[in-house]
Amino acid sequence: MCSTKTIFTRFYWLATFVLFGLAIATVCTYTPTEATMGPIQKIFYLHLPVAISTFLACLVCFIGSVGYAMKHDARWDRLAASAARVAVILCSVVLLTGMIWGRSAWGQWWTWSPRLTFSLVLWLLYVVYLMVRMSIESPQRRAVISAVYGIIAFLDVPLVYLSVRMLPDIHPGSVSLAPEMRLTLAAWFVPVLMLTAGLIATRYAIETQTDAQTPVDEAAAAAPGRFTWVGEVM
Amino acid sequence: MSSNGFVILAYALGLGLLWGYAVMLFFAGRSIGRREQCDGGKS
Amino acid sequence: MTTNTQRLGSGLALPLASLRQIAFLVEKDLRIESRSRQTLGLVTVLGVLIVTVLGLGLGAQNAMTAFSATAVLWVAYLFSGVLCFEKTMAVERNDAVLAALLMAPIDRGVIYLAKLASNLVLILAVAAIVTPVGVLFFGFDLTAAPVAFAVVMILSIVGFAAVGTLFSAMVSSSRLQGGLLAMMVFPITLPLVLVSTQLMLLTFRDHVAPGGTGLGVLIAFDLIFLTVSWLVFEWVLEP
Repeated sequence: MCSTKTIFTRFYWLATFVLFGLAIATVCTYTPTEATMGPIQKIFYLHLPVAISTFLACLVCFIGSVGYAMKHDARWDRLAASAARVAVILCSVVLLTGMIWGRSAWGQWWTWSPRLTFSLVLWLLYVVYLMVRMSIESPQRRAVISAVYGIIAFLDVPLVYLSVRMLPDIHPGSVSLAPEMRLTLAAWFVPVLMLTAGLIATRYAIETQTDAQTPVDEAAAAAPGRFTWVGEVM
Repeated sequence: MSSNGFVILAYALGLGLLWGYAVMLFFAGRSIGRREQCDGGKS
Repeated sequence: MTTNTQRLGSGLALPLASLRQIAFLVEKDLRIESRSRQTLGLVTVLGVLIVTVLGLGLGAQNAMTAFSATAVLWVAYLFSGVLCFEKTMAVERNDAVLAALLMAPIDRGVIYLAKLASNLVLILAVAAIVTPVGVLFFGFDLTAAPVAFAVVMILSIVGFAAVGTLFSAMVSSSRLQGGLLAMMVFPITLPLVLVSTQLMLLTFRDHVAPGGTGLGVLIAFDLIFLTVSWLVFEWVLEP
């Protein structure tokens, strides 16, 4: 029962959990409060690593899509699907923390500032990716269509980034960070990246198991009213 | 709400969402594993 | 991807033949349209309807400025465009015409370009009717820079049609829920909407000629998605 793989998985998740605890402890006790923005700046230590992880998850989705387009192997499709799900979760966190920051700093939950708009469009792009996957029954067709959409969505990201810069900006420019703040940021980057990788890998494993349990002909003929619970949707 | 309150709200929401998803995946994986065991590898 | 390189080779060797094929296919699409008059009328009325609804909703509350016109026009273009793409692809599905087309000695990249051209003709025809209506309803003064307006809008519509033509080919083949095409095309085209509305604001409010990043994004969008669509079209088409 306790294979090396299981032991490694348990150790990995335990380490991630402990590192998160350490990161929280760091931000509570060690990190100084930023002079101009005050305590609200502490959201930054969660916000930035999660934002970077979102891009990485989108990149993995792109790689999976390109891989499927080249090799026509279902494993690439599963990788892209898992990464897209994780990207949506991460991007939701970026949006939520960004909105809370905006509410505290400018008194509004939502402003069409370039960065918030960018996160929203990114979120929409990958939510639609998941919706496209859900609407197609045939596994082969779903893999082809989502691979093309995954490639196009990722190529769209830099264009979105360039276009939102035309919006008027009220964001603070680059902030110089004290050494203690950089250390805190590093302490947050490690567990967030570990969590991202762990989530993609876990979701991938589930996807593999589900595919193995669903014979291909059965999946193709699956009735639209097939019972699904929320865990299968996300 | 004070800005400290907003910080706590942001961390609670963000970490709650991330770890909530992780816990959900854990249970999803376990239920699939159990389905496999019930099958006894017959299918 | 060998087929793509082969296609590239043959495409370069016989550009004239390819152009003739494209012209032939476009002519076929337009002749079908001119005989049935299914798409153009429907889509134009939809566009005018959208402009009217938004004009009523915003105008009655005095919540609009002349600059809202570009955003309203975009809503009309997007919805009528998606309907156009769906219709022109549905024409191929009827009576299994697509299967025959795929068997014909025509390169699939050529089929893509022909479909794109047909879609562009239709959507530009719709825009030519809907735009004056929107301009009229919203009191938008186009006379300051009509050329800039046309250039920006045409560049945006080309990118929109490039993505829409590809997605309509993918989505039409499977029995899918309606609305999926719109859902796929809208988020991808958001940069176009954002850039063109901002450029129009710059041109008509601040009197700055469009250029720089904005125009660059539009051109990059067109080039990237034309190339990608042309490359993957062969793979996604399915009789």
